[in-house]
Amino acid sequence: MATNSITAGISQAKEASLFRTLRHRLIRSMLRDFLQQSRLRVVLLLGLTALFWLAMFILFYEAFALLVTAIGHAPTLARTVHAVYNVFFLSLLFMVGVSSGILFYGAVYKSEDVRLLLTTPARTSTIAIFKYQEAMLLACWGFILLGSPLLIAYGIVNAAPWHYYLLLLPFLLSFSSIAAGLGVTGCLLLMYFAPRRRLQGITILGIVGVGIACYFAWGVFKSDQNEMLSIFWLQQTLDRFQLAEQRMLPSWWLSTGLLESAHSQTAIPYESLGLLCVLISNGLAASLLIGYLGSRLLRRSYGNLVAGPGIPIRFQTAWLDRAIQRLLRPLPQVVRLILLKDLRLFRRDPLQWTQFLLFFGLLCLYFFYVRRFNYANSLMGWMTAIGFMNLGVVGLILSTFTTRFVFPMISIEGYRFWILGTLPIHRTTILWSKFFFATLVSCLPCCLLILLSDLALQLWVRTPIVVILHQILCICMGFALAGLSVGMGAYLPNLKESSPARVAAGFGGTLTLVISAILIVAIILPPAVASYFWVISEYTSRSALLAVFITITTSILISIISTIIPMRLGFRAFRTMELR
Amino acid sequence: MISINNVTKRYDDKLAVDQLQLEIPRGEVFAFLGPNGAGKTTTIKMMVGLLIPDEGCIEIDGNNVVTDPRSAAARIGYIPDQPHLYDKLTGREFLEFMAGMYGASDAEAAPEIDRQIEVFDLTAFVDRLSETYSHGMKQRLVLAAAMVHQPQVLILDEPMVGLDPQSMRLVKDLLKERSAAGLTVFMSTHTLPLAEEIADRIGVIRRGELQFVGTVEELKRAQNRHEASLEGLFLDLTNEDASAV
Repeated sequence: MATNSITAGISQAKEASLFRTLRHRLIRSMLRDFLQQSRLRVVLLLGLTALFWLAMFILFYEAFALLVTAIGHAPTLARTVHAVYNVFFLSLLFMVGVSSGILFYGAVYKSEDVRLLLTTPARTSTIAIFKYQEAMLLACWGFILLGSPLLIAYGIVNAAPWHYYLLLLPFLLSFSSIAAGLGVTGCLLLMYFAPRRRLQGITILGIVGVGIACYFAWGVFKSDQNEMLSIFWLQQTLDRFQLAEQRMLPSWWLSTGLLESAHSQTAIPYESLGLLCVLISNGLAASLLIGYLGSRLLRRSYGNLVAGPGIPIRFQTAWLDRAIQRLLRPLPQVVRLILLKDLRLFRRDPLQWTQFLLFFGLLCLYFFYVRRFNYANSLMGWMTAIGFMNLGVVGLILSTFTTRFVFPMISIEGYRFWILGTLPIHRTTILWSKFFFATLVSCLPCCLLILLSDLALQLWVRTPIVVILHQILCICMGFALAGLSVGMGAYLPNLKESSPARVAAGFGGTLTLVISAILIVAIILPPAVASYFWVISEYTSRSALLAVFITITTSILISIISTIIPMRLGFRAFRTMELR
Repeated sequence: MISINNVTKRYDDKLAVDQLQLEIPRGEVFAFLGPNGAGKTTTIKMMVGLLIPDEGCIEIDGNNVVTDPRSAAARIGYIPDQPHLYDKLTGREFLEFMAGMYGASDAEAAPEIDRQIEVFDLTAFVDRLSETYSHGMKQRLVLAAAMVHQPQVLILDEPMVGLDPQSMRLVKDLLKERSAAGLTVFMSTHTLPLAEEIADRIGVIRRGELQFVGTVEELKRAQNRHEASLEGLFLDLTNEDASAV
């Protein structure tokens, strides 16, 4: 092979083809591994995804059917649906953008393969586009999972023509490419111009996102509480969604294009196709822009951020460590040190907690606006039900947190086990410390969030006993989920993986997530039903009170059992585990 | 072949490399020595385009690594201290990818890949996924990948870490043989006997400043210690207290 032919460089098309081959090969061997080693996981994953999709589809179908029945006036109905679409897709534009930005950051600045690629003659523009496509595909599957049941349900309710369904995927993909393009562009610019302030950048982005959400929510809820859910309120609300109806927004192109196709009177939906072309051309422009920015910024930003010695941790954060140390003082020294180490590792890896923070931020926002509704005393049963529903939502988010972050803790320790494994401490101490850590970070935010929800629902004033029940159930959930994820993490570890995300996505993680969901239902549902009947009887029914007592006791017992059994399994496996 | 002209790199207030000046001609094996944190890896990362110098410039065969990184990279084979491989690619697929990246067509790449597989004795495992490789296997595969496009300059960051004695011998022989055929080798290492055995010249860096450039014999003469080993000379040269005097 002559070096001279190399110095002339390979064409961009050949380079792109090499990257495509690389991607195909990586996906192929990953799928082969996946199918050979994790069949149960595949079945569970597909089954749960199908179940989720079906549940969403039924929800949207019923909602659209209700809208059609409730709003007889066709133009108002059309305007309402358009407004719903606009807001829905504008939110997704933001969420896909942020997710893609974070994924791109992980794929470029936290990944070793870019280090290798940058030492080859590969164009940095091609590397940036390659990573952008990866981030887009990873970010948009959730979007398609959420968007497709909505769009298909609408099509069926409105008897949309065949081309509506045919155009769904191109519309969703081209929209995703724009949303991801915005996120990736933001990430590249942030890493180039302010690499040391990336955390602040993400925070500002989060504040802007919450600000926009607040603007919309304020518009919806600021009206007189007595008019809430009236026709006048609906009209006012639609007027306030005008920001989402700006014609320069990709979400408007998507919603208008799809609605045009759904209601097209002609065989070929020209206007819809026109808007699809606008989306595709903008998606391609986003790709070009990323290629250009990649060629100009990627190498330098990578060098500044990754190839250098790293950004020193500011000393100011030590106050947090001191506070935690003080908080953990009652615990044995070894447990305290391991806990402190885990908390530090968790805190210093933004990829670990940013998405989680976003979830909880949105929940806080939701709880804040729940209080805008005017609840009469006659709706106490309804308020109690909402309170328990909120508890369930927090529990489900907590279960994703424990599966994603707590379950992999033992597995990723495997790589560094020479540190803890050679110290003069019992292995059970390591597991106990992980359990304490998980319980602490599970119970504290959940109890606070649920307290916030109960305050918003005015439950504290009207039925304080339910607030106390919620706190007891929160602690039950915290212990059960922590015990389950730590125990299962030790019982079914994946010591070959260094990435927590991949460990969580494995068989053990998937199984833990499924058991967690079942546990949450088992812990919350019975006391929720009993409390509902007790509250609607205006606290007079003795049998309902007895049911509340029995169900709460059962929940506590379930929590204890689901803490003990996985932890015992984990202890047994961890004591005899060989770490090579 | 390698020209480093007054290169400076700072990390905030810390001067990682200070006014580094080096010329390495074609066919020379150059060993870059220095204690931990002296600036060796920073220099290498600037040479391969992972870091951009704050001042000065680096040229590989006349190609500036900052203004023309692709042409410079095309002439370099780089072996990092921690070899990264795509876990889900086989060794052969990785070699094909790397050869393609340097512009080889499939027809050109196939015989060269087979040759490198033979040279580095990869046959037994080259068609397995690289996630199953030991550190030594990975290192040999990375060496093969670095040589597959017949680079003019080979840059190695701690090449002997994790290699068994047979592989070490293989690498030493290869470096000698290829440098005799015109390959320029720039190698950072803490393995002083290796530097003594195969390097034509050594460079010693400390706190970002080049302390010495020349042959081991020249270093002995400069230190007036004709019987000393390279290890002794190196320790004297990089000793903090001694230098401060």
